[in-house]
Amino acid sequence: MSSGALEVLQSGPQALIQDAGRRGSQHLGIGVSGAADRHAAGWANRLMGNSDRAPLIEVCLGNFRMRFNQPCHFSLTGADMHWRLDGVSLDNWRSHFAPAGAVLESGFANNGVRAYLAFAGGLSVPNVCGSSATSMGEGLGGLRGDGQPLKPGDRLEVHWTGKGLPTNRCVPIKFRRGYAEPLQLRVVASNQFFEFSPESREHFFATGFRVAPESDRMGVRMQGAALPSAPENLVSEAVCPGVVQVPASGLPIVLMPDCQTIGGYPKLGHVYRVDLDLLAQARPGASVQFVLGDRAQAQQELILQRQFFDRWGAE
Amino acid sequence: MPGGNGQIDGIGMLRIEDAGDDALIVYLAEKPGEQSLARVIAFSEQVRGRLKDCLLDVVPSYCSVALYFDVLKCDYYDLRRMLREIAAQTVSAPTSAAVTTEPTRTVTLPVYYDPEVAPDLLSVAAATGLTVAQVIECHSRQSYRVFALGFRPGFAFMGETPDALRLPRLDIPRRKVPAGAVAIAGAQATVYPSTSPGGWNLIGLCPQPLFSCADGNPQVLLAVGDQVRFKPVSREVFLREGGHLHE
Repeated sequence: MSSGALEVLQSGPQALIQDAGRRGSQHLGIGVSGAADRHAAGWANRLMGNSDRAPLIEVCLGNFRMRFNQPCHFSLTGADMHWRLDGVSLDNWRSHFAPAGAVLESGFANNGVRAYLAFAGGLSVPNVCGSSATSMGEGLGGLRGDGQPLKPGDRLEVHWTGKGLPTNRCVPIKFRRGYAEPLQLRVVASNQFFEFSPESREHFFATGFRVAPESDRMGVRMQGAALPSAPENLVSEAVCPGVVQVPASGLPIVLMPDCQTIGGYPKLGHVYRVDLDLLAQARPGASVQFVLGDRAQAQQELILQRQFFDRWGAE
Repeated sequence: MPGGNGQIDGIGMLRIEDAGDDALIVYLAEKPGEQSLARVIAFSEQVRGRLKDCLLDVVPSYCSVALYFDVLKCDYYDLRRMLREIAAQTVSAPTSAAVTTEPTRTVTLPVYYDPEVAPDLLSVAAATGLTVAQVIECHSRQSYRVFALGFRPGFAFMGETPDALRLPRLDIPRRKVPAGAVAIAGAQATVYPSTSPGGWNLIGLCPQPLFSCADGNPQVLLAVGDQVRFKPVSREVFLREGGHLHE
């Protein structure tokens, strides 16, 4: 890699290259990964006129710093991290321009967990099974294809051709998110829902939970009053992001993009894919209330989200 | 119940359930075994061939196959109808069992069985009341089938481990199991494809890589349906075939 259009100076708790995820390899045990908050990541790319599959940076909690070695258009969305360019405050949920030599840095997130940083043209990073999404657990994707997070000294190239220069753009206010608590997550009664006792099903929807500290991109664990009972483990079968697993402890785990491809815990249902974007921004201790939704609505909202971001930058 | 249930001629359970906003799971058998494996393989091949335009992933496991579909390219109800047709054909086809219980291929994996590289070999012998030599003989005497891939890239769930060797997982999983570790737990057997945490009993080390990914192309040695044999090898052969004693 040559001089690099961008240089990471400080990576904070975690900064990862992500994209729309890795499809077509789950039968090999390779998971999907990809941006945890697809709403914020989708908007970051859209502001740049990029495809919704373009690689970008997912900054976890903040304390990230980088230098632009060449002029660059970029966008900021997701958690509000008090971004500054050469010391000047930048608004979240909008596009910006950096001259060569400028330094971009974030503070700590004052809401949410993950911010997205996209660049006009997208990042030029290796493809692993059709995606550059970083899966740390699997050791796949990212800058070197080995699943390592970004670290100080990493140099990144951007794909910008100089055409279709993004003008100053911002996300309409109604689509910006402040990641307020408590969280309400809609759940489709799927998988082994009816194998749970009526008491456990009622408990799941009637009781509030909290996000446990040991949550990560593989799964968000719930704390609180455990379900009175859970069915026995199953013969292993496929699982995917959104699925609500209930191990013997009775405390639900919502699977996130880095989850395994198969698992044996009984599953109460799945959280709407579009609501996972909110869960991805929930901090440890955040209150979560599950509410019963329905499959058709969940799919309709997913289709709308996909269509909205998919059509942009396709040309 | 969400989704439609149906018995097909009493041959077995056939069920299609929602598994995610863009996922359906088709259950083709009640219990894991040769019959479930035959159905899972036949069904996966059929859907890959006939529905490839709208499917993003086809994930077979013991008794089921999950289908991930592109919500922008296919209609949920059409897909369900087609899956039901294909599943019914798979389950009722008298040939499916006969054709596909023949394993697609046999893979022989060399294994160095020695406490030097297998921290649980002695405790497995003690727990089963066998000698180390008998444990090795018992583990390598028979062949195994690959029922599913998951947990990690290239991690094959194989079965079935002989009755004499069936032991529970470790009480406390290891934080680091080396790539190539040959392991058993209950009726299951595997070889860890990459260094990872793990709670299975480690009884040997295989020098052959089961998973690698160079230039963005994953190489996975085993596939669902494969027949696997373990061949005991000496320390010398293990090293000659690229094995490493310490990671």
